Amino acid sequence: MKTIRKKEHILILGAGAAGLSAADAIRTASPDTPVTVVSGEKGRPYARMALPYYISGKIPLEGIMTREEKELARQGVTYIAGDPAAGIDIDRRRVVLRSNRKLPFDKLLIATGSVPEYPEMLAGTEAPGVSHLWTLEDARQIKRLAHEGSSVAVWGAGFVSFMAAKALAGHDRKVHLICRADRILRRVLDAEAADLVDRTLFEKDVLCLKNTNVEKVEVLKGGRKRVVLNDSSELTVDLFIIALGTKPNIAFLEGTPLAGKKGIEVDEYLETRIPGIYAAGDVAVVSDCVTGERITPALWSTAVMEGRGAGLNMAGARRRCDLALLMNVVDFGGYSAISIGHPLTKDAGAEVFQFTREEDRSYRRFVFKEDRLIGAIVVGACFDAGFFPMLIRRRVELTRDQKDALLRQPWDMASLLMSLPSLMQAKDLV
Amino acid sequence: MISFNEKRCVGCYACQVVCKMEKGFPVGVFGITVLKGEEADENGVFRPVFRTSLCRHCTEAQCVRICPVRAITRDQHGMVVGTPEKCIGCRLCLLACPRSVPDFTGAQRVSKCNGCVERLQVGLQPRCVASCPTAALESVTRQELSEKKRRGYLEKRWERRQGTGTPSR
Repeated sequence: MKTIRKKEHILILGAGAAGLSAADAIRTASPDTPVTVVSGEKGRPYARMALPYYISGKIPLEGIMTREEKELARQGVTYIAGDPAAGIDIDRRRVVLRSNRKLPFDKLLIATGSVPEYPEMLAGTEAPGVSHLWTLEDARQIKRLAHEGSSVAVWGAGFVSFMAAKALAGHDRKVHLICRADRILRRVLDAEAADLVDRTLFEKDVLCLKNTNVEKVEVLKGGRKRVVLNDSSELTVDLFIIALGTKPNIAFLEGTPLAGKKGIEVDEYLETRIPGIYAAGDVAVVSDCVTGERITPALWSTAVMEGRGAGLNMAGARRRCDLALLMNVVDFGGYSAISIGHPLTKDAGAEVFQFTREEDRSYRRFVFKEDRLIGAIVVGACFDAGFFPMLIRRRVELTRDQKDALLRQPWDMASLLMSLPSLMQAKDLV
Repeated sequence: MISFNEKRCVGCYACQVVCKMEKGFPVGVFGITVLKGEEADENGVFRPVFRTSLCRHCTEAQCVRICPVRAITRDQHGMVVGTPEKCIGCRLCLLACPRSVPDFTGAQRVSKCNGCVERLQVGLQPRCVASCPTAALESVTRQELSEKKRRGYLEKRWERRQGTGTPSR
């Protein structure tokens, strides 16, 4: 028996990659469902990923905006900005915002993204020029304070710190990357790749201080900052950027059954244990498509996919969309390092193949398990890098000939395209 | 969109050359690439085969969805078009594309096939299609393509059942 359904109201918390992809998907699947998107930040939705490019001046401010208000209105999406969710009343099915405004919902998507970690020891050093690179406000401040020839220290050596260093390099600026481990991007690159990236960084006046940590930060008179390092050396800088990683933004869910240790646990349709409440993007704990582990990938690409999948499921579809592929790209003025899947796996059954080409500083690492590619690192020339995510995500079993062809011509995947033409279709991606 | 018939291609590379002439892509960037390989027929005799790597202007285009700054969009002709001025060079589209089509060589901004929309607007065919001497490349609508594929599939099945020959229509 089917009852006549009244129009369901869909509420989306977060206007990032996942939230807006979901709104788009709901619109295509069901054009008249009322949708409300709540953003915790003021102003129009923007692409956080593009902030470093705004700082470096590659694109104007207008370029990082993902939606215009007019466009949202035309889509029939109600947009509430600058009012983050503060709590959720699951029984009465409504969300309380910080301004105490209450929003009822029939279906809810939590896509609030992540927040950067703030180390305790920095308490008391709040000053202009000591900041994260996380929000548009941060980026504006950094852009304002980064003068020609100023010096910068970036604490952390992950993806965000790398992007910050990249954005600020040049213009006679001296940039220091304070790296706690023995190499940069330790989770995604191996020693060889990190070394190549390091060399390129050095040429652009970005100095990488390895095995180093920050002991103390002081704000001097006149606004400069003194950074004391654990090897008792000191740096005096104009800008101190903190990029020590992120955690899911789920503080407002505390005390509800939704909040898990890693994030929000979801099933394969991205629905949480409470029917009608979904999660996508950085907050959702999903399965790794290679190992099946439960992870929070915190990547733009997975957020877009999950957002779309969750949106379609909320609009009535049943699509499995919880398989995430880890995929990181860092690019330094044309020199890029791409890490896909699990290139650093400790699995004993994995076969590793490495290829180096000195003339253009290219490096590739392929990791196979049985006859499947499970991870790849591509440094330097990367025009054919798009084939690797496909091979890894679809768990393509290569024949002996195909594997040989790949290893014989590691710099050009076109040979593989010749033998796997039917795979090169996008139809089975969400 | 542009359809490619592998059986007709003779590997003359005309499409690759005229595409570069038309678009003025820098060294290393191609809107369409002809790939050469070999295959064995049923008697074990090898013959050369050519395939192309070109943008399919997918209905479910992953590059359009993933671009954080909307530098790749779908235009009114249904073509997936890149706008280099808006591009930040993050390469997410390259990794999302199952054919690795978007190219960042040179300017560090996206360059890709736009289906020659400027030629379509004035009633011309895409440059690669117009230059193909064996009609291996054809400009078709989505509907025509799916019809063609369906017919091809049925013909193949018919051949297999009958031994040889085409069905009478």
